[in-house]
Amino acid sequence: MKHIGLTVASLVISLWATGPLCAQPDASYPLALLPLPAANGPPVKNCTYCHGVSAQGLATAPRLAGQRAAYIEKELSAFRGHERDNPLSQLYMWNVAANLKPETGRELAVYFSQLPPRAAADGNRGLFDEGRALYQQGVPNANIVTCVVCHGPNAEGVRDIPRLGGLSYLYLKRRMEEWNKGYHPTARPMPQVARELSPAEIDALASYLSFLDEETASK
Amino acid sequence: MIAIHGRNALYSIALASAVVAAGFSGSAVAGAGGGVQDKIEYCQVCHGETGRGFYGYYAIPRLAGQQPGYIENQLRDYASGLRHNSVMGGVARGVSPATYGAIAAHFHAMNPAPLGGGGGNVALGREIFANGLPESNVPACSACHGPDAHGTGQIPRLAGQLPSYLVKTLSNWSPERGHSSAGGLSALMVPTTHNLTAAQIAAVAAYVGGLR
Repeated sequence: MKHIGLTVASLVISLWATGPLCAQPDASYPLALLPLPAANGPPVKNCTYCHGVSAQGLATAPRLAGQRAAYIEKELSAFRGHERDNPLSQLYMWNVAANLKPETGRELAVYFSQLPPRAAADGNRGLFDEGRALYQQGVPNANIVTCVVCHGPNAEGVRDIPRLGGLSYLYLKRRMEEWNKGYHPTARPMPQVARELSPAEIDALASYLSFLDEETASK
Repeated sequence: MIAIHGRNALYSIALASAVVAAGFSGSAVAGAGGGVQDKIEYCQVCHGETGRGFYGYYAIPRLAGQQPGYIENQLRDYASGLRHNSVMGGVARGVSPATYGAIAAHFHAMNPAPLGGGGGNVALGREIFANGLPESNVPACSACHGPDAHGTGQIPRLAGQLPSYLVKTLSNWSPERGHSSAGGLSALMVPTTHNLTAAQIAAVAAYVGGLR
């Protein structure tokens, strides 16, 4: 038995070391080596179909890697209760959450929160400084609050307040726009925050945040 | 969806009026949002709709029930730079001093339950609050803040304040409020805070944070 165990272990190690046989190396897209969940762990594949195999997000689905576990759990609950009623949430996440046990949701949340996040960097780099000023200081004369007080100095989030740094420009912009269209009204105070933002300010904030990773955030 | 369409229509009307107004006078638009009600809502985005404070990345203090004299003083000190806070400095300078009184009165009248959340020794906190620590030169908090911790005049209410906010304040007194405050009431707190240990600060914060 010991011998078989060793053989399996070395097979696993050699597969891990060589990676998928058909994958083309791509320097600009270094896939994070996922610490795979245990065989009896949560059904990660059901999430990664849309959120990406390394959970960095795809066109319609936001990055989950590095997101706060308590936030993911809270959102799953909001999908289940239909409080988060954004169009894509209704289309995809309502069904997902309806069939997900809260314990499984918690395991998935913890799993994804531990994966290393990578910045989407898909915003307009020319708006970086304007976005940073808005994030750090708000615009007191226009009743625009700062983001930094809740989301943190590096947009890293805390507890059930989400990490925003490095999420995709398209996702960040869409969320802020959809609050202004009346979606997800229970996520207070975000509807009240977004209400004061002009389209140009939303553009600047989403652009700035999309570039933030651990390195750029501290600058 | 009807509600959403209705809201969009309202936005269009508001936008159209804003454009018309801008055509006549730039200053009319620049002054928009500066009214007392607008500023109160602006405060409530962070400090909570009931003024009970909020646990963001940083603890955002409770304003509900706070003494109006204290709120007005702090806004003045933030605006002048006497009290240091990178966020509140800008906020206070964006509020007309003429509205300080109305904002302070609004929050003074609110009375929601405390948020709580402190992890200190409540019994020790009650003792320090009521009797001080004579051997460490710490006077009784109740002597100035009142036996119910509701404060008076320029002396702040502590009852129901977020414990982690109180811990931050008592642990960081000189850098945040100690500068140039000699002669002000705030100067009284400098030796007091410096004579408290971390465990004693946590105890006082947990005790007063739970008071109504």
